[in-house]
Amino acid sequence: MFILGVGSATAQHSISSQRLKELGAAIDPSAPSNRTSIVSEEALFSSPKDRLLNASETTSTIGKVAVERACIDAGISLESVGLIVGDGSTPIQVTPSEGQRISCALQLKTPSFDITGAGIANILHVDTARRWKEEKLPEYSVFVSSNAPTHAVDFRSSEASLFADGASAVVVSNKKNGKAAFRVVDSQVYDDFSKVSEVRIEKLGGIIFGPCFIKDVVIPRNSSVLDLICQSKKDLISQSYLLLNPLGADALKSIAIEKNFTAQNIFCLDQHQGDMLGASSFFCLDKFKNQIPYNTPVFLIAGGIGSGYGFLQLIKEEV
Amino acid sequence: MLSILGMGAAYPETRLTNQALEEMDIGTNATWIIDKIGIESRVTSLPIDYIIKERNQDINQAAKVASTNPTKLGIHAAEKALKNTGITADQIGLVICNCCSPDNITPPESQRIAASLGVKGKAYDVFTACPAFALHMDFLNHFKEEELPEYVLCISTAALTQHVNYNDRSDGAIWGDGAAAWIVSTKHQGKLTLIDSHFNADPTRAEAVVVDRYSFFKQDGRAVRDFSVRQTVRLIKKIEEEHNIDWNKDIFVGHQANRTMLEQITNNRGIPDTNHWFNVTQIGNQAGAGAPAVLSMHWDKIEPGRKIVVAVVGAGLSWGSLVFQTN
Repeated sequence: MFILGVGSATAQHSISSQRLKELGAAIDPSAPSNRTSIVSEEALFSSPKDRLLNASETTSTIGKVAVERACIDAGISLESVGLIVGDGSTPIQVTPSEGQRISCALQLKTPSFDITGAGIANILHVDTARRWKEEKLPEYSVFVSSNAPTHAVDFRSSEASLFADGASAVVVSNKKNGKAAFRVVDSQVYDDFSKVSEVRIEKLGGIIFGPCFIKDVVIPRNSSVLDLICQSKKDLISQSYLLLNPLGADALKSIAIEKNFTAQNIFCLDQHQGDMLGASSFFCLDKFKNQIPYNTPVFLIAGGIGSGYGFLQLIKEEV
Repeated sequence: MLSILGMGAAYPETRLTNQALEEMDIGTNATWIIDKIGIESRVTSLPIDYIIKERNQDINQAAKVASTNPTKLGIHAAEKALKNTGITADQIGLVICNCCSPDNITPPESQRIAASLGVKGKAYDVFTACPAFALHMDFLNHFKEEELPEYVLCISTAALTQHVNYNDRSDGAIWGDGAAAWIVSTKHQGKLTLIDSHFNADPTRAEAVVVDRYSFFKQDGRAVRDFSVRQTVRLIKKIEEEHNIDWNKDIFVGHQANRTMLEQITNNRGIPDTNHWFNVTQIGNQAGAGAPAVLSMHWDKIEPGRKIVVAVVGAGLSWGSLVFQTN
């Protein structure tokens, strides 16, 4: 199976940590210097409902752009997509599904539904498709995650500063289409239900964080994924590239280096974007795809919001 | 081949009658309700007092006063399905769930339910609202057999009465709350073996049926009704052609939206009442839980050597169908 194209999109507003601090927000020491948001500066301290309903864009409009860009990257038309699978942890409507709303925004009569996996969504999507019978995957399928956590965080708590609004999408196929592509080599998704509600997004309220969710959940789970990769693929580690999501990235980078990943081969979203929940992994892939050499293993890891955690192993192949 | 080994369903105990709706003076009466939608009563997680006095105008209050929620309903349905199948939660390798009205959007409902049951496998939501039964079975039918665990738990749950505006005479009469759960396996044969599945959608019409996160259910009633009848008839006709259906012995289960629509469909296809199973008249529209709950209720009546045809439609707009061989 191949990822033929990757696309991403951000919310239109951008707000710096410096400005948040001036407005009275608490800033986490590991927060990025900027993040994108559907929320205007004036509305940042209003209720989650007001922030969401008064925004000029939605997760569906942002997801639409990510899908369009993924299709352009893949060199295919939107109309040739045979399936759209969505994910969204912060929807404006609880019905229909995010995938169906994004397809509606694209004006596509394409079968659509959601596979919702919270923080692991990007990886879960491709892991799921990889396990399907070959004839069940259409010629081109799109998997998209779009989230706007900044509408629901309380900026008086420092965890709020770690998040951002954005979407990412991939075009997946069992065949290459005359362009360079990422071959999907392996993937695994695990679930640990012990702290499943450590981060919770209420339908009618905001995001509730467990007191040490990064230290107690995000880092240990991602670290265990690194252990699993290193045990089963140790010969690849020193040459492999590793893409990390923003949450806990500094600590995970150190752990990865201890496990023989090469420091300059570890990429994480820089200071200009926060964590976008299930959209972070492919957002990161989109940002760094041109810096990844051909025929070099790439690992994406995720986990910590929701019960799922795991990895995706890719290799970039030429035409 | 996928087989359903056991099923379960769960509902709140409170019942909202047509008489109560008539007395609310919202422009409806019991006769109109029976005539237009054929529902006699519906179950709800909301107290009747609250519905009558407050009309659920502030949905923040609904969650606070409700007797139950989709997670609890899903857990109860799953527990029944596990018991009816004769297995324990730790034998479940995968939980997939569909929920139109979660109290918490993250983590996914499947993960909350899996945590509560003591499942040790995987869990994620597979979501399309009302056609969930068809989507889940078709979704599982996509997998290579060796990629599915021995037992998969599927759940559809919703408490849509908490999103109903009870000043609206139509919406108040339609919805009921409930959950259905079923255990699926490719390694063991149960009473129902899946011989065909289909799922599709036309998202250009996604705005026709909406549940706003902070507000009420809304739909373009006439358009959705026409779509539902037409699409269901289309699905059934295709199945009749491909699977040699004999309505003198085979069974039909439709989307439990309203009895009047189901009658139009069964009249169109010549399906006798004896072979049309439904529960909407007493339970209301339970969204994605409707059709599987009907099968759960009729489980002991399933005789070998028949086919059961399920055709479901709903938000998205999406639709799907299933054909089971009974064993």
